[in-house]
Amino acid sequence: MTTRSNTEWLAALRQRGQSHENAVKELRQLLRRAIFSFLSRKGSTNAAGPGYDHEDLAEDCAQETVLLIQSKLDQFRGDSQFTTWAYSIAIRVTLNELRRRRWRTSAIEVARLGDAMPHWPIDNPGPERSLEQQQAWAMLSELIETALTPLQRKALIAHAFQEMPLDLVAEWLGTNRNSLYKLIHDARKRLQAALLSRGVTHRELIAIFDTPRPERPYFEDGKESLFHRV
Amino acid sequence: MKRTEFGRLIDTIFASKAGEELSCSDYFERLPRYAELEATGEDAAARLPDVRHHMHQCPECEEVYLGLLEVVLAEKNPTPQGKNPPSPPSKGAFEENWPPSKRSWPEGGIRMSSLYERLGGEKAVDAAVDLFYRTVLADGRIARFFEGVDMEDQLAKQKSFLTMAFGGPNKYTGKDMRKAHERLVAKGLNDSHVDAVIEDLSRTLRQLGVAEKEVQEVAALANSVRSDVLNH
Repeated sequence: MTTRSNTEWLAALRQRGQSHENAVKELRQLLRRAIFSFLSRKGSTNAAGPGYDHEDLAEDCAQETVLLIQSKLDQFRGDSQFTTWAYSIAIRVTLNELRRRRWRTSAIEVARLGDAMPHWPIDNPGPERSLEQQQAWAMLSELIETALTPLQRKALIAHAFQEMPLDLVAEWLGTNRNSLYKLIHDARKRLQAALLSRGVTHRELIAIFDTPRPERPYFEDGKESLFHRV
Repeated sequence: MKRTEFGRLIDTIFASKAGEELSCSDYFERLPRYAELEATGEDAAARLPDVRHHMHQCPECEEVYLGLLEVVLAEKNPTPQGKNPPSPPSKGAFEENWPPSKRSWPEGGIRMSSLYERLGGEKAVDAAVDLFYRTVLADGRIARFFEGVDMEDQLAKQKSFLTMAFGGPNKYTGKDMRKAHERLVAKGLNDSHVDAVIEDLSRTLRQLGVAEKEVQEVAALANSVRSDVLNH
C-alpha cells in the first residue's frame, strides 16, 4: 500500500524531475498489480485473448491509466484516497479493453447493427415458451419500433440486444458516452410511459417473462392474465 | 441475451426517473467515494443514492464499481499469498469471532473442516446477518420485496438462509424453499433478483474480510437453491 498522502501524490505528479519520475513509476506499479489481481479473479470468462496474457494486458492498461490520470489530475475531487480514484480509472480502462475485445469477436453483422430486433430476446428460453410470453415480446418489440425515435431505437437495439459496449455505440453514432446514456435513458422513459399507458406494470411484465411453465398462473390472487385485458 | 439481462432491461425501464439522471461521467467522479464508504461498512447507497441508482440503470458502470470494490477491499484486507487464512476484518463483531478456531486453519493450509466451520459457524452467521440485511434493504433491485415485512421475522429468516449458504445445519427442504418464496414469486421475483441477493451476500462477506475462495463457495451454495426459490 502506498504511503503517500493525496497531497503528496498530486504534488509529485505535477512536478518535473526525479520526484515526478518516481511517482509515475510507483503509480504504474500499483495499478499494474491491482489490474493483474482483478484479471486473475475474473478468471477465464474474461480472458485477455489469444497471444495476450494477463500480465501483458495489466501492463498496457496500467500505462494507459497513468497517462489518463496525468491528464485528469484537476478532476480529482479529493473526497477519496487518490489511489482509489486511480484504481477506478484503471478498472474502467481494463473493462473497456476487455469489452472491445469481446465485441471484435462477436458475430453481429455491421449492416444489421442497431436495426434488427431479435425474434426472441432470451437465450435458451427452455422447451416451453408460453403464448403470453410471445405476446408480451411482440408488444415490447412493437413499442420499441413505434414509441422511440430512430436514434433511440438504434442505440437501444445495438447496446441492449446486440450487446455492443456503450463506448463503441457512442463512437458508432458519433456521440459521447454521456449523451448516449441520456439517449438510452430517454428511450427507457418512453417505453415506461408506453407500457404504463397500456396498463402493463413492472410486476406483471417480470412475472410473465419469469414464468417458464405456461400452465402456471401468473398471480395467486386470481387476477386475470395481462393480455386478456389489453 | 440471458434471461437475467432481459429481466434487468425491464427493471431499468420501470426504474427510469422522470427527470434527469446522473451521467456516466458524474457517476465515475463520485464512484471512488462510494466504494470507500461501502468498503468501510457505511451505507453508501443511502449516502449517495444517485450513484446507486445509476449503477442499477447502467450495468457497465456497475461492473466498474464491483471491480473497484474488490480492489479497495483487497488493499484494505491484504491476503497473504498461499496457505494463510484470510485477514480479519478491520472492525466489528466479526473480528472478535475471527478466526473461528485455530484448528480450522491447520499448518500447511490444508483445510480439513467444513465451510461452515471455516467461516466460524453460528457466530459468523450472527456477525454477518445484520450487515447482509442492511445491504439487501439498500439494494434498489430487490428492496421492494421486503416492504411491509416484520423485521424480526426477516432477520430470523435471513439467519436461516445464511446458515444454509454457509453450508451449516439447516432444516430447509426444497418444498420449504418453494413455499417460503411463493408470495415473492407472485410479486415478480425472478433470476435477476436471485442474482442480486447472491451478489449482496458476496459483497457482505468480502466486506467482512472473508477470502474469495469461501465467498465463491457460499455463492455456489446459495445458487444451488435457486430453482426451489423460483419454483422452476
